[in-house]
Amino acid sequence: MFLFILKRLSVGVGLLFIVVTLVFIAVQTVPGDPAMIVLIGSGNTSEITPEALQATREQLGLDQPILVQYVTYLGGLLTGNLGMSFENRQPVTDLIAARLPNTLELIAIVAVVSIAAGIALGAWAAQRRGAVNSGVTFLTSLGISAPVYVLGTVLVFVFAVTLRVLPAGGFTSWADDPVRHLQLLILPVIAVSVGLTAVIARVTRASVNETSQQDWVRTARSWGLQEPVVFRTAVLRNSLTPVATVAALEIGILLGSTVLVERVFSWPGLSTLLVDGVAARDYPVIQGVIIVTAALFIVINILVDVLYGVLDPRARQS
Amino acid sequence: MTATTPATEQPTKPATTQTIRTRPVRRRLSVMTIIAGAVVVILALMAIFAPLISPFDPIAQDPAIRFTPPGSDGHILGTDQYGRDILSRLIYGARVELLTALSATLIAAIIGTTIGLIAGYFDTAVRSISMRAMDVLLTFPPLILALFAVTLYGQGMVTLIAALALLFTPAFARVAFAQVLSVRSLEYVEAAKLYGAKSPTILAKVILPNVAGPTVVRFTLTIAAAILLESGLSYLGLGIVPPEPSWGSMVAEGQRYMSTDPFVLLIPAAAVVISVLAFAVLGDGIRQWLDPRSGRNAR
Amino acid sequence: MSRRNRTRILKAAAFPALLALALTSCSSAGSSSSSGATQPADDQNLTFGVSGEFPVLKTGTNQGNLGWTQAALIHRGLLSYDETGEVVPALAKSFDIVDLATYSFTLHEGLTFHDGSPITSTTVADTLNYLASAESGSSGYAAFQHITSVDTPDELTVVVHLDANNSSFPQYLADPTAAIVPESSLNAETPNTIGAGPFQIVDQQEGVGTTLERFDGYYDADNVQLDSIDVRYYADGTARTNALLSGDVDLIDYVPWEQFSTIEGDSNLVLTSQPGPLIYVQFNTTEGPFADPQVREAVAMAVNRDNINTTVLEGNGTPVYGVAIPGGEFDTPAATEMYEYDPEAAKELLADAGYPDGFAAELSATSQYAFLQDAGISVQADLAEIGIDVTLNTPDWPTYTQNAAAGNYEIGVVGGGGTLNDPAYLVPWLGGAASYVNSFGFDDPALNEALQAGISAADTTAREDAYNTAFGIIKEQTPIVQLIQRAQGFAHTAKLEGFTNLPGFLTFYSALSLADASLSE
Repeated sequence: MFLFILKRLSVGVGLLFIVVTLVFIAVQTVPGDPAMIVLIGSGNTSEITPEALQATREQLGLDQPILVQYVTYLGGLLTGNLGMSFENRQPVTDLIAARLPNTLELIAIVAVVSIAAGIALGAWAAQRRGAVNSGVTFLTSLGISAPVYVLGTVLVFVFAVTLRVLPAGGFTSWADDPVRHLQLLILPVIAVSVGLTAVIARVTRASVNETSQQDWVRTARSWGLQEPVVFRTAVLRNSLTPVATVAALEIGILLGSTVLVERVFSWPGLSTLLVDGVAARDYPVIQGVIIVTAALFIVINILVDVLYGVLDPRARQS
Repeated sequence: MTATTPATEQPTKPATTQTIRTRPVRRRLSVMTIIAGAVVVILALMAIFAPLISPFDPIAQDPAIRFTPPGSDGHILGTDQYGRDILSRLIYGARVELLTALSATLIAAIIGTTIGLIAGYFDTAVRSISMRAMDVLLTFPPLILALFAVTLYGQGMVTLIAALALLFTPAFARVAFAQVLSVRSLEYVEAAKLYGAKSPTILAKVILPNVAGPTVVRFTLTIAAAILLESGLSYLGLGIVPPEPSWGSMVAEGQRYMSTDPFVLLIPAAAVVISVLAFAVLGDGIRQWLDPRSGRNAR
Repeated sequence: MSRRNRTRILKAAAFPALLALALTSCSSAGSSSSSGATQPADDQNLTFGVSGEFPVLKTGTNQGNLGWTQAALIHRGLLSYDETGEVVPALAKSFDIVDLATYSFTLHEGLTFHDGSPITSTTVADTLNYLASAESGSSGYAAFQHITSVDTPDELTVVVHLDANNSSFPQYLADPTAAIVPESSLNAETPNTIGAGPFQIVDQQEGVGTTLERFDGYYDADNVQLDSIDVRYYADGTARTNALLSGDVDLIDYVPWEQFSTIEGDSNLVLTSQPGPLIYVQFNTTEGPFADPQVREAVAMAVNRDNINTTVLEGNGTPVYGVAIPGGEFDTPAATEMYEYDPEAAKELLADAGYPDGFAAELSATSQYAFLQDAGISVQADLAEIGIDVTLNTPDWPTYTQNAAAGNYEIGVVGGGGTLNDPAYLVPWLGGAASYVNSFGFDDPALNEALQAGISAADTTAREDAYNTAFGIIKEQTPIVQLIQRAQGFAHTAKLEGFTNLPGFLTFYSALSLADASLSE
């Protein structure tokens, strides 16, 4: 088991290294002078002298040869230094550290809600036939197809603006006002959970059906065990591995794509930092967010692999 | 947001869990699938014949008639904040959406399937390298990779298609890879090899037909995902460049007028949902048709 | 599913549902209507929803709308603006215009910064000298570079000497970016967070908001009624407006134009808007058809400003057919009525200039600001009417500004406000160093001279004459084409009193008025 985890970890580290290098190279290929971007700032109409440009370049370390920049960057990564934002000269690590918990919180709650609801729905649907089953298929298709920004917008319109029962958006930290903090979570969580619940419900249903038809399950039934018992002990538990994999994959995807929901609800998360960084060509921020997100993604996948290995010893052989 | 795959493939399961059917099962196309197929065809026709069937120029402005409600004379779906005909923009938008989604998916399918086939068939370092490369691609959450591409190469359809193609290639590679692995160990492939059949022949005659099915399914589902992703990017203002109509940017613009003229938002939103839904249901239906054993499974 | 499982699942679902229900009913009820009574409320905490994140302030530099708002709250300079846009003393108790090149100021006694350190004439001199230096990149450098010396005869007196007359010099000092700051902030690295303004920063949460509290050491602290301001960041215009509509915030900036009527229709809310910043066309005057003033004039006559007003600004703009002069003093027909909307005449002009069949070009605008992009689309349609076929190129803002400053464009649609409500604002727009605000390559010595004459003229008549000369040249040369002034709107609860939207370009400094604002019951 230990060897298994170690192997996965080393693969993960390798992947991360490749990602970091690719990102670094990609950023270098972009035309335009980052020093210029920094100086122009947001509407700075002052004259940009060549001296100022050179000074900024030195400040940002852009006058060094590429290889030196690369090694410096790698070294920085190891010590947790992701560079300084072009736009406001703050350490990227700080910027990310301020936002990451918000995105993680949103994703975590969405994950819990969706997994619970999805498994329940999927397991329930698996034991139904005919119209109900097709209905669930259609509903889940709909849930997957509805863009989250449409859902979010409509939810805000109905619950915040028209009915005035929930706030329209924003963020208050748990420490400041726990009730409001939770209130502000409700709509974003619903908006994102719809899609994820649909996906999980589907996979659960398929997996449960698959497992139900296994020979050994039939054997259990033939022992005279009650159906609910069979379902709980034999079927449900053993059909969860593909669900876990899919859930992990989708949650990892959420890491990057919560931006749409963050935009609609003014939730200060990591994705917003990325989009703003993209809009301002703030390369250190963009690099930082991509690397952190990729790292988290890899970690999640490793965890799932380990989980998979725990649940299904056959998988450990690979 | 489930940006990539509406219903993901399972990773390769150990072969022992496949059940064995003793009775042949009839293949049925459900009603839903047929309807979905019809919708897809309509969308395709809309896209292809856009200049012929569009009542107005999608970018022609007429401020005097802005926010004409749907159902009015001459403008069945109304006009937007510039007085542009919404139906025309919807039709041209279909062209943009489908062109982007189709191109990206086609490129991804060709490249991905080829990689998967080769990696699956040949037992060499080629396999580990190519599949590891796919893994690297998969470590990027989709929207982030797309945003990165936009940062580097600017907005526009070309960047979008390239980024989306890159994003979807691994999925196709995995599908092909899994299929090849499961087929090549079958006895009749072994037999064919013993009889001296060459690799390309085996690939073409035996493996491709098996790969074709799941790949078509993956193709349809990927188009759905591409539409979702592209419209999300356009919503953020980082996708298709205006005034070229795109459903995503139409939704973003319509959002500003949500409280007074909601139809400007709801119509393109419905278009996105319906298109994605159609492709998704179609993909599911094809999968069910190809593999009747999945019967009630419709993932 | 068995009944037991079903019950369990129902119970499991009930809990979160109940929780959600409980939470929604906990939400603060919508604003209770008050009847005109202006009793000050017990709770003088203002919630202010702003259009983005407060940047980390860099001393003296122009950091846009959010930078100015923040500076207007936590900083003060020698002078400031009152609610009518007039320059008034601030940290200086009084000021004296010895002559147009010499300004003398007397500070209040006992002034301190937020951290308690004292403000003396030396502190002021240090700040002014920094702003006058090239590496500060200060927003008012155009004026400050002419400072020859800052004398400090005693602890409370400052005398500023310029090398040339500048009648608008006080306005540069009233700008929030010209605030007096501690010595430790006089560089490009240190965040400029310590000021002498009515409010001080208590807490800043990245991406969320900033909390400010009244500074009791403020020179006018007795008149500041708000105890604290809770600034929250809402980048999305619709979200920001919704926050106001649902009572989450008391005041918002940058009201989207399409929300004007919604807010006006709500009796609990007040919309206050000013025609402020401009949307205008800039040219690359070094090559191609746009190097010809006649072609530029044709463009000026071809654009249907009313269309832009309707489609881009929902009718909340003020079309401009010349150059806009906020402040009113030089608001003459010579300035404001240079062109008429006349596509036919425009076509004739083009033919005269040698383009009877028009020509093709590329129009740049930025996709990042919807109104600029929409204006670009509108201009594209108008130009097509007179035979100029443009394709749109809409990069993001940083790329746009870079291209504009480097001359990598043919014709562009851009926006912005002047530094002050005075014709002097035109100086960087009509010449000077290459930046994104002016037309690339345009430099008319006669125009520069006329503008400078206006700035340094001793009396009003001389200024008028000088500026009229300038306006004449502008009409002939058409270096830029101003299209429309957009309405800059703030909206707030009717309970907020004393907040004013400052006129003209000063609209972005409206947070200055929060020093006099209060919340009623």
